[in-house]
Amino acid sequence: MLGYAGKILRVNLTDGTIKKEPLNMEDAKNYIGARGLGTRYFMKEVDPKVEPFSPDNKLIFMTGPLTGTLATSSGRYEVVAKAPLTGAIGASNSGGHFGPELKYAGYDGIIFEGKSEKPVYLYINDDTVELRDASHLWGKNVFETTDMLLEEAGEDARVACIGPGGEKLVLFATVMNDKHRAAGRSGLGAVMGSKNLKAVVVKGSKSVEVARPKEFLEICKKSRDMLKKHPVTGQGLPTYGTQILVNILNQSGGLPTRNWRDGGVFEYNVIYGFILPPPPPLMKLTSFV
Amino acid sequence: MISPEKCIGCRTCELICSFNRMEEFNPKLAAVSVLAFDEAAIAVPIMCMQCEDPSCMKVCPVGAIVRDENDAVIIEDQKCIGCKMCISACPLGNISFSPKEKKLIKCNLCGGNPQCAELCPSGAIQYKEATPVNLNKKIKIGEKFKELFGEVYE
Repeated sequence: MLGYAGKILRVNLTDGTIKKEPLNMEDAKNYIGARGLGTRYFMKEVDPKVEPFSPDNKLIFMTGPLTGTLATSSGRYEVVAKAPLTGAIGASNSGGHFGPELKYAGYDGIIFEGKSEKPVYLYINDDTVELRDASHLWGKNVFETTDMLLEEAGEDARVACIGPGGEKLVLFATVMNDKHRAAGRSGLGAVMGSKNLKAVVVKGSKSVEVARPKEFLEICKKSRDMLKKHPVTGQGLPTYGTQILVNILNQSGGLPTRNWRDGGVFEYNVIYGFILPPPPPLMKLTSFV
Repeated sequence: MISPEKCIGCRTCELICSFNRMEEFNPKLAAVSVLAFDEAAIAVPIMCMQCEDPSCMKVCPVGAIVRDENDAVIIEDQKCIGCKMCISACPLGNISFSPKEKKLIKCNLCGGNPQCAELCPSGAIQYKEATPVNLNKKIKIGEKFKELFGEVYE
């Protein structure tokens, strides 16, 4: 099916084997999108009673059918595993350029199983997939790790990795990609650390195709225009950054408050987003597409 | 016209470029590339500058590189023998080779309607009549003077 790369990687960290298997197309059709598909794979393969830091827990990186195309807000990937912070399935996503690059390398997702004895990182360059030693990276923070891996793999690679927090199994550790972007929810970086997996490095040169190119492009252009015209996505977010959403979510009852016991701080008039200064210039560089 | 200070590094231009030529999304097969410099917080879109005196045109042994009616320097695929001399000759590295199509990749301004400029969300790539001698930079300095004196008069 077009849109999908049609292949997933199954990496067994215990014995170091790497298998390329076809994507389960029936599941892909029924559970569209990275979160749906990743969770489906997880539910099918993992015992619900598994401990988050057990080698039996699986760590799944997944992309969706639109990842890597021009579709608006499509450049994201999802990380799924039993979450140490909640004890339930954790699904966390992140933007940047890592997800699309995984698609360009020809894979819809990666499933990590088992636990490595030594620190390792996964290197993917199209059809070349190998586990490499990462003992020299262990203990390094995200920026240092990313820089060192880019030096090894080439400047056009994309890196998702964990920092010392993930290595030390901090319950809210994140998986970081492209230095600044975080798959931050439910502590999945700690699961990656428990598997002694320091990083995933991807380089790809393949294409993502769609079924009806002309219509697809028309819809992409239309949705772009909609986002540009809307006051929040067109002006608020570009000027103030994500903080603008504090007000909006508070008004609509979607602001996580007191660990989700409430949907907002209704007794106060929240003006948070507007009083903060606009984001520093570093934040100017955005995500993919 | 390229304004790196406006570029947000989203790489929409790369995607639409490859899609426009071969109906596939593949940044590696695009005639434009975005170079992002994280620490400096700047990204620079780079593509063929359609030089006044193009080295690629001079070096081509079969005369396959010509200037078309839009003042774009284009490669005529029927004449091209794929020797890749133009890749070596381009001082800016803006010609590449697509092993898949066995064709050279070079910006041809999309026949007068560059899609990268049309879809660029921040206006970092614009297709318009070139203004002489950095006029837009002068205008920026001028605006600073305007702000300064405007305050005085108020």
